[in-house]
Amino acid sequence: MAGRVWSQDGTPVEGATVRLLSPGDTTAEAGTAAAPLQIAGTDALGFFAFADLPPGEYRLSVTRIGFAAYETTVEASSDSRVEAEVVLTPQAIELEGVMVEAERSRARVRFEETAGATIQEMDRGVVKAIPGVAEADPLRAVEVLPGVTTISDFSAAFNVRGGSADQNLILLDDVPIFNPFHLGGFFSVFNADMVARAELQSGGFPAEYGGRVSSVLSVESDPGDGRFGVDAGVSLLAARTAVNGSLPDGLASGLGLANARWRVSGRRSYFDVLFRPWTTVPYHLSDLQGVFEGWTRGGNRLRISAYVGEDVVDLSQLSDEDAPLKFDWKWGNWAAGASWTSPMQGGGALDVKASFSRFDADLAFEDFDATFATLVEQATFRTDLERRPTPRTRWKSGLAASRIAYDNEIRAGGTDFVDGRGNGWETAGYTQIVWDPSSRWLVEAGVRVDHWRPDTGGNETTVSPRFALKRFVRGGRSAVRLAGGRYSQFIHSRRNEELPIGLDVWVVAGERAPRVASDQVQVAVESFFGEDDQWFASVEGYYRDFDGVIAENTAEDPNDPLDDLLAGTGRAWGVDLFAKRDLGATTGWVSASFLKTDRTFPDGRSGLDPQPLVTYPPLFDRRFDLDIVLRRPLGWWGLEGNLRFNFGTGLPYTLPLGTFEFYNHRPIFGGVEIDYNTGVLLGARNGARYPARHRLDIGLRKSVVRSWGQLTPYLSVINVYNQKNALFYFFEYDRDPPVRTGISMIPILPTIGIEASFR
Amino acid sequence: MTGRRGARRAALACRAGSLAATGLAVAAATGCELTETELIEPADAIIAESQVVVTLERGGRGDPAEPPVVRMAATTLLHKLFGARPGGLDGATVRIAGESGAPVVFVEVPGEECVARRDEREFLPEASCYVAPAATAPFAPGEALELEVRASGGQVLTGNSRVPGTFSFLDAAPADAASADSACRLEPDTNYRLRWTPADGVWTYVAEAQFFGLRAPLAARGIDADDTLDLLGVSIGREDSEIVFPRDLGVFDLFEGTDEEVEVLRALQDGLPAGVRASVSISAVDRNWSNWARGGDFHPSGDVRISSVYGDGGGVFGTAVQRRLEVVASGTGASGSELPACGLPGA
Repeated sequence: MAGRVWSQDGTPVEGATVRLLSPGDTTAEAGTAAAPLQIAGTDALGFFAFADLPPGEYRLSVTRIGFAAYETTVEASSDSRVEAEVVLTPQAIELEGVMVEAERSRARVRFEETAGATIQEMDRGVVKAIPGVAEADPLRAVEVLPGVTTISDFSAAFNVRGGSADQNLILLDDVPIFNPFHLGGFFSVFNADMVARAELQSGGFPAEYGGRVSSVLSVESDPGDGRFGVDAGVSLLAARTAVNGSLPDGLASGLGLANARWRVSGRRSYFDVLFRPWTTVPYHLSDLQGVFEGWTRGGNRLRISAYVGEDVVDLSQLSDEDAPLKFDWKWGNWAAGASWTSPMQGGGALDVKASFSRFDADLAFEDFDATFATLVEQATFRTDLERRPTPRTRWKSGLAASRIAYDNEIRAGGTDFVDGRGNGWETAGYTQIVWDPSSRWLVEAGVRVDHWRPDTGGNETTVSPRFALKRFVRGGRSAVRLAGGRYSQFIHSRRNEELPIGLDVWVVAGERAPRVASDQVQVAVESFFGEDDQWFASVEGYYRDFDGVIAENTAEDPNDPLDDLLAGTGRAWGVDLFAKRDLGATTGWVSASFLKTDRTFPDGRSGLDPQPLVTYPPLFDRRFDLDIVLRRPLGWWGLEGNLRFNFGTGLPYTLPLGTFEFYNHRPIFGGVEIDYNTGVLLGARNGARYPARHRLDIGLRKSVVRSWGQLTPYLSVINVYNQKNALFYFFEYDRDPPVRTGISMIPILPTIGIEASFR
Repeated sequence: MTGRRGARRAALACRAGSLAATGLAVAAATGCELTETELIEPADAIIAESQVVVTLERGGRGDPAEPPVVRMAATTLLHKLFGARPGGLDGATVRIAGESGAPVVFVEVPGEECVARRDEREFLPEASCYVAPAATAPFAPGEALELEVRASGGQVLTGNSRVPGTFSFLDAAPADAASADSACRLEPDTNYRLRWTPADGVWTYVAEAQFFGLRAPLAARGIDADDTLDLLGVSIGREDSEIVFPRDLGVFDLFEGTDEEVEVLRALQDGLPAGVRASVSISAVDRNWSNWARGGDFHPSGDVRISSVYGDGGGVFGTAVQRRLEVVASGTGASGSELPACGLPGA
């Protein structure tokens, strides 16, 4: 038996719970009556399916928050497939915990239908409930998930299970986003008002995903519910407004659409404007994001999304006293994507997608007629076909072609002095199948073939098998799963991750840089438990190796234009523990991650030729990381309290053995002159560690509902007890006695803001 | 890459380093200072900065048929790390051995012997100074050398270097002055492409010039300048055997100099005023020298230098081959007009 669930307006209903009951049972009060024979959830196109039904009569119950419950009787025969078309009637329900119920269902459906991938998902409500600096940030929210490490409070960049930050594929509505940061990494470009959900796949992702080896972070925009509404907010960072609505019926109909909704949001920092009468604030950020989703009467979906954002640091207009070094620094992203999804008879769909993404940065020193510029862009066309050849089998295949180009330049006097441009074509094909031979097993197998054709250097073809096996126990509430596969990527960031603030500078694989291949295996035990499956817990161990990671060759030979990057290898292994509660007064989760990772490179700090190999823990080798996230109504004046606590063992750094004066030799004089800089003699690479870090953040939110909408003021206090977590140590051996000083990460930082929703 | 490109690239790389510092400054401004913690004394390591500059002089009083005489100026500074007991490392043994000749054993001399501007006495290094006792080198360009330093405290450092190959100026005539290989003439207020033959094994050409007689011609242009000035530039890579003279020199000072210094530099961007003379030195330096000079990764406690000596510390054992050129800015009929032009008038 298969079917599809629709809303009255012609929109497929995702996340509906479909129960198959004995003929005499009923669920008029959803979920309160008889236990179902089988249960399923609808996918993004409203599809559901049941298998292995003995012939006979059944009751089919469909429930979804926001819709009236639906029940009907269906007859299953032994020689034909039953197709059910269900239309739900909207029913206005405004209840606390509505989203929690829906979220639990999504998690449960994913648990039942996904064999290998480790997926954590957060909706907008959860993202906003995690106390953040100035305002909610989906990338900052990702930090608290198991297996995720960050190296500094100042950067929203993250590392997953021993992978470097450039090994995370970050997608906004399936469009890759390069360097998704404002303020040099302090905030992400993702505006929480536009986010429907953020989903992190930290391992075991199936063959349909390529391009990065470590994780996939997929941020999905919310096109709204079609009703006109305005959301606005002011934080200490920026002011923002989001407007949503639907196309007028006439226009939608003229476009052949039964339903068309959209949402647009703009955001801008305001300190430069606010303080303009008194002083010049040389920085501002702005972004604009929009999404459109339309459904045809036949159930096809058209989705278009776009993003443009820019940061500007302009010191060129300041006085010499205020800015001895004048520069004008701009960077930003452009991204747009469109997809057409056509459902197939019997389930599955044909997806056709096209996208373009670009990141560029320009840093200009006008006084010196010098400019640094970097650009990376990717244009992608892909098509995916998913079918359900049998009720127990889902099959998906696809083809994709991408052109990735970069251009890193240093210009002065109208001439290009460094010209690091390059490009390549990545073509890929994959096929994967998910088979549930019985209610206790789920098998996933697939293969992906990537072909990389750079403009310089040899072509690369990688064949990446993927597999996963899942065994359900405890009546399907628990499972053991095993997943593995090979992953590859053909692009690298040259960003120095040791700097707290910085931008990615990208290069593609070719004669300068190798491709990355990573073999990975993971095994997990996971379970729902408690009343209504309100608890979920998992333990997962993994091993990964990386071949073709890069590091800067600081001892590069200027006579060799191709040796500026060093190729190396890496390993990572660890265990992630996760416990989450989705229902009840207090919700949240605890994640604990154990990690050990290393990198092996020719030593770029060695003057020897050839450079000896050196193995060391990379900067993000945090051996243990604990996150606690809690959310609870406080019972006082309708306040909701939020808490986030993080503990992490110390990150590695290279201990200076001492510092020294050094001198410049001047051949014309036959002697030396003092350099006035201090040299540092280093010990073993990343051989020392900063102390463990810990930080408590709390937040309070209060929603005031009025006839016109809702007002939500909030207060966050970051680092409540002002823990001075070390960012850098400075070893000052030139003082007597020698001392170690340093700077800490973010001190105690209270921030306030307000959000308003007009309906 | 031209010399101009090399020089500017190096300067811009310096600027990129200051961007890293800017990021650090932003973080420092946002974060808080950590409590000071007293450290134990640094490691008992020593730093050796040993540089050998080889020059070739014409033998036989200028007779080109005579083999050139290989001269050298070799200095080694030995010093301790900050925080260790002050002073240098007296009483050490510093020795260089080549493939073909007798070893050179350095002698310890007063610190000012190692200082660049000995007449100005700008500073005395907090280091012990060792120099090669003889000006004649028992090795030749292209030869591999070994350095061994044995400090009186028992620390040992060793290093290896291959002296770059020799090279010669194009477009210049043999000089009369004993201090220079060649001499040539510039049209006043004109930049010239100063070229030389590529040297084997070179990583960087260090271009230096001392200018004489600047005060009067620049004063006539309303610019207050010292009579002498020395500037530095670099060209990166073997084939980068060209600079635009004098414009490519002083690029570092354009970024870091005072307003007055920058004004003088800008006045020299279009060439030398008539009557100004310059002593030019081009040194082809090896990988060790280049690595030490350009530094390495970011570290918050100081500049990371890529060491080329190993053992109980670090430092550099760099070698260079040097050529000198006398230049005069002289119009037709003026003194020096008989000299060949210094290459081609250039961009």
